[in-house]
Amino acid sequence: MPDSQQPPFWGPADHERDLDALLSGTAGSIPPALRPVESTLAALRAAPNRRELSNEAAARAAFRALAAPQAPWTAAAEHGTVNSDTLVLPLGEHVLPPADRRPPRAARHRRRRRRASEGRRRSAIALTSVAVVAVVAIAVAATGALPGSIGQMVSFGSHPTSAASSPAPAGQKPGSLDGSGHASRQSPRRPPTAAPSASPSATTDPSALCHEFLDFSRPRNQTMKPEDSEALTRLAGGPDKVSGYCFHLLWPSAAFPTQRPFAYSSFGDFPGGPGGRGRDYPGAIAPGVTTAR
Amino acid sequence: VVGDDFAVVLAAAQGGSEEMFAVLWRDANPALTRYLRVLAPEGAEDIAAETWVSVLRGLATFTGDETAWRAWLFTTARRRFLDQARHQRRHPVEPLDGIGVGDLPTAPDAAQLAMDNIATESAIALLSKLPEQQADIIMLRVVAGLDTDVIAEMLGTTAGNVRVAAHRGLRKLEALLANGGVTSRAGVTL
Repeated sequence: MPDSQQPPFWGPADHERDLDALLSGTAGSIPPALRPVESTLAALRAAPNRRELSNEAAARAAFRALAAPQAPWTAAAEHGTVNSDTLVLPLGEHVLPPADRRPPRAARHRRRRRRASEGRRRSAIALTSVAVVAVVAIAVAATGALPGSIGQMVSFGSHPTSAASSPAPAGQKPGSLDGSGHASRQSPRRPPTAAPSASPSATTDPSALCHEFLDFSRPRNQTMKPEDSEALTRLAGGPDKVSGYCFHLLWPSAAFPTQRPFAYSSFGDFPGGPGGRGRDYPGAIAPGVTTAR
Repeated sequence: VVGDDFAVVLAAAQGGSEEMFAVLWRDANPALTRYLRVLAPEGAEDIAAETWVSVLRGLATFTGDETAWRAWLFTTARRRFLDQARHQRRHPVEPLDGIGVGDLPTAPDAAQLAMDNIATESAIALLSKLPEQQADIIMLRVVAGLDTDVIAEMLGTTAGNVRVAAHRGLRKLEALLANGGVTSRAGVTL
């Protein structure tokens, strides 16, 4: 309702001015009819009584608990408890940024929430990693070869070793025992060049054969050359041992620790694995001989 | 009303001065208590305490003059009152029918309190008989000392509505007093 529209109930304007004056406490001449109202409102404005000021101690305590911790030395100084033996820390309101004076409750909430989200993120990353490893292992166990994209991922960007660049002479297997009975380990060969598609033909270099075997970048309808496949099968000691042989040959220290076998049973068949099978292959590590990692 | 020294007192209280906060408290708490006793006669003390706790939590960040300070204080009190009213609606309290008035525990200085400021007690009792909105506005005008525009902003209405409600409340108060049947809690007929 606009202020200009006064309801009929209000009566004359003089009376309204009197009511306004009563409310603001500036009444000069009050009509007799309004004197009881004036005295009532004056009683509401009366000086505080004892009861209304009886809780000052509690209010001071609340102040010390909620507002004073920002400057604890101030209250102590007011009460005269600061003396020469009192250590006044040089941390004052003037050195505290406003952000540090907020109630600590909100900060606890934020920190807790952030910590929880980090934990969830780490758990998700760990679970994803385990799942990827499991899928790769199952794929290798089932097909004897890695799927193309995963195979590329596992190869860490390495390319097949050309026959000319391989330091291992033909016919000698990596990881074979030397004359002293100690295991001589072949360092992984990862030449930076040589495209995967340019695989050597009819080579007997085990590394090159393995790179060709694990070359998943080639189209699906193209298979390994028959002569290379036969040579690799012969080197590995059987068609079911080709995968383990190649992994052990190419990544002897990274993927297959000799003292702590790979957890998946399908890899127990690779030479030197926990199954005890495949010890007859030329690159197998003799029982009781451990390689230094 | 603190007056011209309000800015200095407030700054000192915000800086941690307990004495300066006590000045603010002694100035505002009687009006705050009377205001709450009109709105919630039973839980006025508790609501006042909760109000001061809320005010203390935001004291360091408050900016404004004395009018803004009182408006903030009474707005906080009003919100605490509404919170308590909402809570009581959800969790109604059963009356103690089996216990008589004489059996209720009394404070040691109850007799002295009864003699204190009888007129104020009677006025508060009289204001409690008005409709809640009218009593609210009259108390904010008279006790808190806020003007019509500030109250309108607090209540989320227009200044005209505030003025109309205040005048209607005064009319009703006048009628109650004219009837002569209003007796205060202390037994004093106004």
